[in-house]
Amino acid sequence: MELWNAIASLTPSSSRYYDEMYDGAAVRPHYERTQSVLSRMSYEERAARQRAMNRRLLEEGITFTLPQPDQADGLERTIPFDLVPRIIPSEEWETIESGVSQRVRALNAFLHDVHHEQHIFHDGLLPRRMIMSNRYFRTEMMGLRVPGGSYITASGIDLIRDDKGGYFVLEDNLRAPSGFSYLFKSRSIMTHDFPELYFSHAVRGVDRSLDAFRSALRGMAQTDKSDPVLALLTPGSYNSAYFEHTFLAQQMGLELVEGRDLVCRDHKIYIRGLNGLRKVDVLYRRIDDDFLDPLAFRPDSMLGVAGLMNAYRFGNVAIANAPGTGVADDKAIYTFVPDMIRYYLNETPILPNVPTYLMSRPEEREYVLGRLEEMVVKETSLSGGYGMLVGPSSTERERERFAAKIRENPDNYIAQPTIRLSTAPVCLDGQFVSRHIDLRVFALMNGGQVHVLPGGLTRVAMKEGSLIVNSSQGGGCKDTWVLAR
Amino acid sequence: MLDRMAESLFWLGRYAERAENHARLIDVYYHLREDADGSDEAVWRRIVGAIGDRSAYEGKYQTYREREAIHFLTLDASQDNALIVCVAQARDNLKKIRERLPSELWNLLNGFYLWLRQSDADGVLRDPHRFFERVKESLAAFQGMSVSIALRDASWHLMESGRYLERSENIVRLLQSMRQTAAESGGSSYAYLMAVLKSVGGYEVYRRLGAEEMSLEEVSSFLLLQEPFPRSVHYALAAFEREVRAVRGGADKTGAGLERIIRLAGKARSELDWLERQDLAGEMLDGILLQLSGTNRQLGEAMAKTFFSSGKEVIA
Repeated sequence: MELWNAIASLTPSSSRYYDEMYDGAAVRPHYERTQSVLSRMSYEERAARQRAMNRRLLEEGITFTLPQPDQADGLERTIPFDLVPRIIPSEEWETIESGVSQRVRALNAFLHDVHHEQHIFHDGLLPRRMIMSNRYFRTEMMGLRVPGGSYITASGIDLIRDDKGGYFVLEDNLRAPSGFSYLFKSRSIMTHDFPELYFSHAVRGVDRSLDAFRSALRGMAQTDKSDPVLALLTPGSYNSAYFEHTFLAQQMGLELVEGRDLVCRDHKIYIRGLNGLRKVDVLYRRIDDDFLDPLAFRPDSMLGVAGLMNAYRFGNVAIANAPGTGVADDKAIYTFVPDMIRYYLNETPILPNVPTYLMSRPEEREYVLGRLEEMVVKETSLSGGYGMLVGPSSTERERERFAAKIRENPDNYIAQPTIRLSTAPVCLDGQFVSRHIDLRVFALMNGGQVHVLPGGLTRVAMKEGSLIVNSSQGGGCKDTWVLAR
Repeated sequence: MLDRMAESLFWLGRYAERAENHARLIDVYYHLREDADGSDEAVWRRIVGAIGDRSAYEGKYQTYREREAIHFLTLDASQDNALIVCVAQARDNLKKIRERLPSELWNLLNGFYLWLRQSDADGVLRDPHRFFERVKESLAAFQGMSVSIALRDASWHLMESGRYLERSENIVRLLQSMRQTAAESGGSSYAYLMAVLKSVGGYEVYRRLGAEEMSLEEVSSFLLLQEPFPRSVHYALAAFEREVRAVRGGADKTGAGLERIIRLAGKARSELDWLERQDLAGEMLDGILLQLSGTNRQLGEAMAKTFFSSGKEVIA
């Protein structure tokens, strides 16, 4: 107990942020049981427990590969796993679930509109230029009817909480979001290596979501075969997310294929195997649009399949997520999502956006350049924590360099005020310290229905005071529990 | 199944088997110290020659010494034949196809690899026997787990065919090195022959089958012809043939290539059947070993040609 109180006094800054577990000095009711279990353990017990969990991650090869500039082989590492779960009460979760579902439906409607009638431009809500000049826009997708009407079969919506505890959407990931496997593995680790804590709570299970995932993919098959062939297209074992690809393939019974395993004949896609060719009905691809088909996109791509886009246009194979979904998760388009929700669904947005300034608007640009040290500036088309300026922790020189880049190419940048991300206790060598966290919520679209995975992936910025939670930048993760009512 | 998966499965089987053979050999040789001239140098020279590549060793070190030799053979990641490289190769191949085999197998092999990677020569020398025991047990656990839970589909048969071809190759090479040592020292010592038998776990069986004499010919005939002993060339070739036939059973890809592999393996096996005890004496043994090692090489090449097409076709 005294240790926990010590935290509050140790980090005087904590009062400036919303803490997931503490309300001032008091423990929030939904964390009471966890707090009491953890505080009964000694430093050594906690540290040992956490080491065992992380050793298991390593042994099971739940790793991602960081590219090393000076070495041929990347560095294999695990995402540091934290033993303190993140707990979300059921009524809070209902808001998140309906908000995410609403957002995904609106974005899907937007993608359909952009590639068909383009009402949104005609009605003047969004300048046409923003789409047409977008590097993710694919003219090949114009007028195409996508299987089941789902452009974004699998998506990951990143949420953060501000200093009042309100949820905001930080980012939409609609191309090939990763992290599903961490959600399932985190849960498996907590149930195996910390059962007394896990089973003392009524937590909503995640296992059925794999089933929902599989049926979402299966639902896209354009065939009446009873057993359509579903395949996951991976860039290969050297890709940083290869573990996730094998995990999803194994758990859902998908064929795991690389571009070189596929061949296109008569506008159909086949797996080339020892037993001859097998037609693929649904391709869940985990490679970028650019690399999908060397005949349609980048001619130097070795990862894709020549002829895939034609097969797709003929309706002989379904691709999830559809090519061209990148236009909707662009950081500049993000600004318009609340408008899309009103426009397409005639609903009030449930989850607000973080206020965002478009650098292409002169008055907003000048406003931001005047106070760069308070802002987070992002390049619109990059993700993974790359190409960012975090104002409060930047140096004078970095800010000058960024200001020059913004002026040179204003369309490429957006800025957001630095949000005071909420904090949660994490265990470091058995001691509890306070770190910033966010939440990636995963949604699966099947026809018009959206299934939101209960919980999601809580990412932790492991460096003290840091706001960057991406795993490529050394972020960790926590198991996320949604309490059953 | 895809061609590249066939390739990975085959090599997974081969490297897992090779790692086990190396661990067995090093363990037994390490504990075989009574040699005629008694100098340590000669002992280590022989061990390195039997498993690794002497010229590579001599390029790196001046003299044959325990620490260097053990490091060279077990933990030196730059040596193709070092134990750790075999295990790393097995793991890399499994990694490429890990969704085809039960995840428990991956966890086991990966855990073993991580343990091996953090071992150092000092750790091995503190208790060499315990170290090699652990290596053997881990590989046996991998093998046992796969027997216990893996689906008996084409993946399985390819992995097993890799294992048995590798075994056949290893025994032939072991016999060749035994012949060479005998030729160099003008005869082979009792302890040495016993070590060879122990390295394949066959000493007790050898005795049980009533072989009175411990001679080069007797041991060779045991390791080549003893049909029920799983580490004889005869057994390995027969098992290899069986696994390849099973692959054919499930595939539409019957082609001349696959038939040729089966025929080749069957021929080598039946030739062993017709051998007489006196055919294994002296020079004639060398001829037979040379022929067998040629067959093994041909089989490996034919497997690569039949299953691992690298031919890319673009039809769009």
